[in-house]
Amino acid sequence: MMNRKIERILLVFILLIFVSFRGFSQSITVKASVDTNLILIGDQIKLHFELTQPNNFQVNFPNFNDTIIDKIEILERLNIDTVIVNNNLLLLKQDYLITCFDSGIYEIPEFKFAFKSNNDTLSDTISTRSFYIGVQTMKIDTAQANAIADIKLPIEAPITINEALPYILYALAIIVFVLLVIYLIRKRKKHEPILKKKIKPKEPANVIALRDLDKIKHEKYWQKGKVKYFHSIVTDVLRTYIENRFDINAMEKTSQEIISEFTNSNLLEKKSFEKLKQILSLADFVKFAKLNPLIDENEASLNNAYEFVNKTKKVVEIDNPEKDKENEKTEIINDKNKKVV
Amino acid sequence: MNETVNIKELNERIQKESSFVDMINIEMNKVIVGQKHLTESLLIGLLSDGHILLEGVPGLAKTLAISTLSDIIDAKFSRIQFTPDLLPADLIGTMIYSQKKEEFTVKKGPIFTNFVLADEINRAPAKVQSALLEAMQEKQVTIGDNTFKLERPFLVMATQNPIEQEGTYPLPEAQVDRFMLKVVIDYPKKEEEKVIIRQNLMETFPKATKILKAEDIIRARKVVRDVYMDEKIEKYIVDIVFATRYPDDYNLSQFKEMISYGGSPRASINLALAAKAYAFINRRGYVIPEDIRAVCHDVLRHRIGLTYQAEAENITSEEIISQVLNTVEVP
Repeated sequence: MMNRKIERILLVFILLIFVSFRGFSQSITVKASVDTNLILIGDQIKLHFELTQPNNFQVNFPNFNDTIIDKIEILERLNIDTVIVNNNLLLLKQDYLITCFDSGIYEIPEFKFAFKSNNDTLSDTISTRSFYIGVQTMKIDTAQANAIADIKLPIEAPITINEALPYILYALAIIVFVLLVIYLIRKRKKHEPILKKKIKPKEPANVIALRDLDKIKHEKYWQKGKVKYFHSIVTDVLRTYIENRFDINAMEKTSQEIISEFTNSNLLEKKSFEKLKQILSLADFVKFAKLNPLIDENEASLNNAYEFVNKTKKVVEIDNPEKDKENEKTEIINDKNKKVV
Repeated sequence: MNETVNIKELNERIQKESSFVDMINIEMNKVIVGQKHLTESLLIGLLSDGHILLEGVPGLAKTLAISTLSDIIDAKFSRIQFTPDLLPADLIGTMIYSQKKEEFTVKKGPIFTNFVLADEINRAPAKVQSALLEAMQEKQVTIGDNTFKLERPFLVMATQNPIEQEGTYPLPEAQVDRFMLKVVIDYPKKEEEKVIIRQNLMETFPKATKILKAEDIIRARKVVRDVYMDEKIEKYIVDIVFATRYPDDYNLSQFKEMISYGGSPRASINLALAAKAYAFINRRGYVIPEDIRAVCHDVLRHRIGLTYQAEAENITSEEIISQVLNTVEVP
């Protein structure tokens, strides 16, 4: 009698548990659907999962690797979207971007969602309903001539500046490099230094030349009998002056070459040219032909050298407003005087 | 101007002795059109007792110029065409056995003359070239046991063709050095070429007349040697030659790897001699730097050895000489 009572109590307890789960499963709903059930081969559609559940339940979405089923491929898995329906219910959504490359009809099976209450250790599952997806190929009208065509190449998107910029920069860098190499080769062939260092005297050429000529005058070389030396250093001073003043490599040129240089370039006035010619010609005779010039000729050479430097020196014009005003005043006074006269 | 006695006298002597220069030029110009530099170089060689190597493509009147010069001077002239089968004996002579006298007698070769034209010298093998070059240097020839002095003036003018190098025997550097001048001849100008055509289509080709004797040349050579050369000019010559040997010392370091060997002391001697002859031709009793620069290329171009690097970079001895002249300070 006692055993029967215990059996009845156990039966009632089990029934109560079952009834309570059934009650919970009725508030949890799952749904699987697709955008369309009929697609063309390679078309991309979304597989939607919708789950409604109470707050105090944990429900797990089904897990997939690369495919939903064989030949139905997953392209992208989107995040779960949660919407609160009311205080007790949540709506969870998850989408999968899927495609298929084989024609046919595919059954998408039931997907099982495992759930359990937060207050309970027991769990149960709930399933979606299965459905079908039809994948069809392109209809080809074989009667038409161009019915079967080659696979089309990917459509080329227009190139943007950002895409082209690295290539443009590379091309410019290569062009600059090639030009640099050509420049270096040419310089090397001509035996010129890569970077020309022109050492310009800090002082103006005429200042240096006049100072050197003063020194020669002071030393009185020809008066002491050093006539050849006198003419050599006078011509050296002039050559250095020509080099600094006119950028002519006079130290490496003969007298005739220096004269020709000025004849062709018209850099000098006739008077200065004649003076230079006199100095160089006389010096050549003294230096190379043992000529002993007259006293006047020595003096003339030195004086001509002074005159040549003074006449050909570079004149820098500086604006002087005060001087201009003075000049203007003088001109007015002169005009007044003219009127009085 | 109070000119010192020596130079004044020398100038007068030169004015007197060099009068034939104009005549030679006139006679040469009768036959040779243009090629002023060639004529001038031949005169320099003639007056400074130096042998000349002429280089130019065929048809530039190399041979004609030399034979015309020998026509102008009343002296003996031989033309030897150098060929691969030529033997030294064909050049200097040999011993021939006389059956009648029952002894060997000397048969002198064509080298026993005043002017030798060695045409296409690089076509003969080295032993023939050596025989000629030895005679050029020593001015004597040994046949058997006998040594014979060569006649004075003795001048060798050799020609060589810069193209068609196949089957030739290039002259070794040591032997090229024995030529005082190496003259490179270029094509004539348009106007000159027109005259050449007209001249060659005439019935009779112009011929130079003899206006000089061998003794005149020997006398002129003495005057040439007396032309005054100042110490400054000597220093200039030495600087130029040293710049080809030690380019680093003359701010020419870019040529350090290009030059395998520079000018020899013979280059300095010949530069001085040629400059003196050039001054003489220009009726001057003293040498000026212009004279050195005028003859420098002809004297030095065959005396500067180029490295493989220079050849690879197409650097010629001409460019090196020009750069040396533009770098060494003129006195």
